[in-house]
Amino acid sequence: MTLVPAALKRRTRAETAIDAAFAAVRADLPGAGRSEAFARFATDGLPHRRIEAYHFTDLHTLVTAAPEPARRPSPEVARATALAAGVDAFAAAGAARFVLVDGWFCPDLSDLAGLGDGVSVSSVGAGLLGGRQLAGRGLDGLGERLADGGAAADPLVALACAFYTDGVVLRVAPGTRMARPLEIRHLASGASVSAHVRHLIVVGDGGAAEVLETHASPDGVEIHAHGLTEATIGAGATLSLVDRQCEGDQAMRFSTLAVAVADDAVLDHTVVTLGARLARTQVFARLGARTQLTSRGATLVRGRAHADATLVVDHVGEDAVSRELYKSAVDDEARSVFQGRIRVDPVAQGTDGRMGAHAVLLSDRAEAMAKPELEIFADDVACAHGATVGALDDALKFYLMSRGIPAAETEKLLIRAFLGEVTDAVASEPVRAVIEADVEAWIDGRERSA
Amino acid sequence: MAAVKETVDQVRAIDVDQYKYGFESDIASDRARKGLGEDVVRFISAKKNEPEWMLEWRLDAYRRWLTMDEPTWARVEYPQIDFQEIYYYSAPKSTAGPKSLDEVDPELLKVYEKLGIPLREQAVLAGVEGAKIAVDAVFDSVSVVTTFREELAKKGVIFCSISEAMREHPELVRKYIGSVVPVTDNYYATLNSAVFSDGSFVYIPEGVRCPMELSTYFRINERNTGQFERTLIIAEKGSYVSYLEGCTAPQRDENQLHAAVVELIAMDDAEIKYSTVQNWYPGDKDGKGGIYNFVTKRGDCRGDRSKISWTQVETGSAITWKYPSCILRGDDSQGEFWSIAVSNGRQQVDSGTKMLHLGKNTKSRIVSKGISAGHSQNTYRGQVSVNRKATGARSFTNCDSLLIGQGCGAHTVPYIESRTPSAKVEHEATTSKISDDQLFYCISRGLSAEEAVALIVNGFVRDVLQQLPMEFAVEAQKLIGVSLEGSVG
Amino acid sequence: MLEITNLHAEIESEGREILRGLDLVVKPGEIHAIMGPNGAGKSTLSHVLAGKPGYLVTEGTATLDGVDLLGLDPAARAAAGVFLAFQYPVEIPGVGNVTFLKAALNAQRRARGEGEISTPDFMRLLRGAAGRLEISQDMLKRPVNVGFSGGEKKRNEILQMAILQPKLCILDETDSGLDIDALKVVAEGVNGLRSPDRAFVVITHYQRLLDHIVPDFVHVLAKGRIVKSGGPELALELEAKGYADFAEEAA
Repeated sequence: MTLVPAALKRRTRAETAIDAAFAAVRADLPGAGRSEAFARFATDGLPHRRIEAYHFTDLHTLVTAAPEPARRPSPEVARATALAAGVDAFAAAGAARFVLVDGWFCPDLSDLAGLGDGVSVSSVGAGLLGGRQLAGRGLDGLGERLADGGAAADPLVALACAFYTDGVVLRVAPGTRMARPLEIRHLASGASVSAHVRHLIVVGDGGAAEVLETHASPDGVEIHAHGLTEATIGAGATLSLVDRQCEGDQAMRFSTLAVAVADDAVLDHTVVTLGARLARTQVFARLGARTQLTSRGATLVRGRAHADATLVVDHVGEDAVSRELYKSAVDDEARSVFQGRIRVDPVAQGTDGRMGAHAVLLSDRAEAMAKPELEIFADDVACAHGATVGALDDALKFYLMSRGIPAAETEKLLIRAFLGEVTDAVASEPVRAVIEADVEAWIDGRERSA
Repeated sequence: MAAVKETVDQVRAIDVDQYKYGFESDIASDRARKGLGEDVVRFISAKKNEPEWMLEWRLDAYRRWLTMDEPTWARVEYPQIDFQEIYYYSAPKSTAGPKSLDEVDPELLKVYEKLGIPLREQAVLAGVEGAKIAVDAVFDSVSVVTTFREELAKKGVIFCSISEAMREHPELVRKYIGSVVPVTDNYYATLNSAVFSDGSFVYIPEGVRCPMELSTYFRINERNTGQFERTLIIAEKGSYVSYLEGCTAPQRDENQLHAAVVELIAMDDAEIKYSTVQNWYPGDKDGKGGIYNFVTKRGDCRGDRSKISWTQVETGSAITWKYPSCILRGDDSQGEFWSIAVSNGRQQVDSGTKMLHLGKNTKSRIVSKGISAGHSQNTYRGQVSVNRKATGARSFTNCDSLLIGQGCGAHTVPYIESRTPSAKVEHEATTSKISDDQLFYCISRGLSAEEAVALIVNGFVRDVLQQLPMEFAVEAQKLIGVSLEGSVG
Repeated sequence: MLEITNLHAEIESEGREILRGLDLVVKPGEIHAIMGPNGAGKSTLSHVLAGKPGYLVTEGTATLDGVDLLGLDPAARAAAGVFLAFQYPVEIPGVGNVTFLKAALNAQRRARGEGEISTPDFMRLLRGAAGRLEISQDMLKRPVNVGFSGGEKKRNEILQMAILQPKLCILDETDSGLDIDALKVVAEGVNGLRSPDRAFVVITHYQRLLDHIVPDFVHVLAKGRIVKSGGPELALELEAKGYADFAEEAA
């Protein structure tokens, strides 16, 4: 490169820190493609509001610092972290467990037994040390296929590809059903660090996989947690994915799921965002013929938090059905953002796409932004989206109160009911119970201002 | 009344190549040099005998425009416009301010006759029963005639060309021009501020209900000529006005630029209803020629309980880039946007609205119906923004798209921003193809495929058509039918 | 039991006075019917008593067994024993009917310093009441009023009344939108709840409900005031003559 890109001339403090961090760690990190990925990020830096995809989530201003990349924690730190994190909520779901601390796999804390024949789990870190190449434009060439959906060009994806230290590689052989779910449990040691993970999930044709992801970090610590999950779901296969984000109040969480769903396959995706000062959750899904996508999200924000759910659903095969429902409860001075785009390729005749985004504002200074888009290039389609923003319904409040239920309890009941449309739809009973408990805890934790 | 009087029957066997208003008129004109520079801005200002402050205003706009970039966020694609290849001022030669119709070039009158625009007041009276409409006719860059002025003057209503208003009512123009669409609002609005040549001016005094519909008719005739009109409507407290706008241009191979600015101001309890039927030449079926229509329209509900309602039927232009908007500043003010956008051939439409809720208990209603056929791209782009202080605001958007044929695209891009819990914002959108069952039902009752499409489409856009004054609605309905001809086969 | 004195109330946002000096005394065990032309203020009276937001009481008092109702929020009024059967019961998606009933009953019991009801006791109570009102298990499982027919919504209101056991039941045009069979079920439900220490205020536009719920007193409400009171025969008279005379009288 002979010319310094214009944007490089004036770097923010955070951008300068990210540049320095990459220079410091690139020699230590194995795997190809990191410099290319970093260059994609560095050209324009942190995206600002004039970048359409970041219109409502201006990382240029919201991200003011960038902690150092996390080093591999010592076994003592890892054990102490696991101890401090307490009981694993998903234990009741009977899941195998892949534990990462600050973005590094900790085999001693993990339990990967009993997933069944034809199911393999390994760590990205071990693969890297073994000289296996996972990088480049994407794992298993997936990046090539995701380029159209915008994932490949996304600056957060670029950062994850440049810095990733570890992650899960889950392969489910064709026709194989996992004997138990796999939980990916992300813990934070409490040090102010940036953690970067990258997962690969490959479900072979006709296979079935269930993955539960939990992100937890303590309050009061600025942690930047970056995650990129790339998944391919083979023809006729099923993947169920639950992403439970319980970050601390000073954490920043950036998650991207990039998934290619082959013909006749099913993806059932749930994301619950609680905590985190700043959260951006991106889903890029490419749907083949006759696929079924369900993506649902519950966002609960308070304080001065900012939570963004961004969804790009790309129909590239005929007769696929997609259903997206995102709900957010926004308290205090927090802000929720929903961006969802259903794109229908000219060949995707018979597409049936429906997207709903609803926000309830619980305080005078809460804000919600929504941008539900339809981008349709095929004519034989039935697509719709709906979005609403408002307070809890006064008529419902009055009805409940007129039956003797006090005001505070009325609000709780209505918030729970509002989010219930998302949580009730989670099929697995023990998983649903965990999510409902999360919602309940959040509601109970609301600080009554009045 | 109608932009167009001839009926669809007279334009049988039309495909998109056969644009009904594609005749060219041979009228001598007075033009500025080709291209743009301070000299051209000065030339235009001098031609209009403008006061010094107006020239300064234009020059300021021009200098600012030089520093700006063309916007690229809309879903429209077109080759780079060479702003030096356009004539910015073209006036029919004989019009040094006609005192009456008798002084207007007979050739010009013929043009309007052909278009079905009633410029002769008695003709209008003889024409449609009870429907009196005052017309301001703008030919290329200048207003050629305004009808019914005396009758309006009795009520204190001012309806004239904006150049005349600048001379006769400079205090009003100076006070309001640029107060809704600032000079630097956007690239095309800034260009317009520098070079606008004419347009309509309307002033409705306090408490007056304008006794007739006001109408402006725009026609681009000259080759390589841009049309940059500027319309300013002021409705004082408690007044009401309904204003209609129609547009056509001849059929040409090259693209022509139209960059208008419309500013509306409604004071306490005032209401402005602004209706547009836009039928600029859309280009041929391969996308050759056609008008580039980059328009900035904005209404300011400045007073409490004021109301501004935009209704548009967009069937023409190769490119439409247009977002009639409302600033809901007054408490209890209301904004409405009713839109039908039809695209066929290679047309590209990127249109919608912005509703900015600033005052308490403000309301907005958006109903958009997009119909894409052929190889066209039709985008609704809209914004509803509720300020923290706009307590009790309500907004409802309904946005439906219909696809006809496999080569077209329909897109919906709404931005919703709410900053107070007491506001309620709702948005719904659907996209679907024209129903096979409905088509079959109609055809089995003896309708041709095209008639069936027209019938179904008219049902689809009904809610919006009902917002138009009756005669306009009838015309618009025909126009939609004509625009979609050739879309089923 | 219920004493309303010189009650004046207006719609807050409009400043328009609807109730203009209304007086009414209801004793335990009595059924009072309030009839009147459209716009007389019938629904406003029920809303003001239940504490619906949006109304401003400018003058007068309303007490239940000496407790000032107007100073309480809607939940406290319910705990004090007021129950409004809504003309248009709202749908509450996501809140199960049983969950709701139990939450309401326990909230009222807590407010009165009573202990929460045990789940088996509650279910027994619920099953009994639901059976009498022909309310299916399915209706109990569904969210409150969601997808209910007009008749089902009204029966559900009476079910709540049966579970919550209020002192004062206000029925706001409960007969509207009901066919005759549904009306009978609702009326039987109400009659089953009659007791010496419970009173009813039945607001209706038509006499036909009063064939099934026979009132002790009938009052004509016009232009915000009670303009005439009498026995059940007054309702028949109104049915025959219409409200025209009373509209005049009030003016």
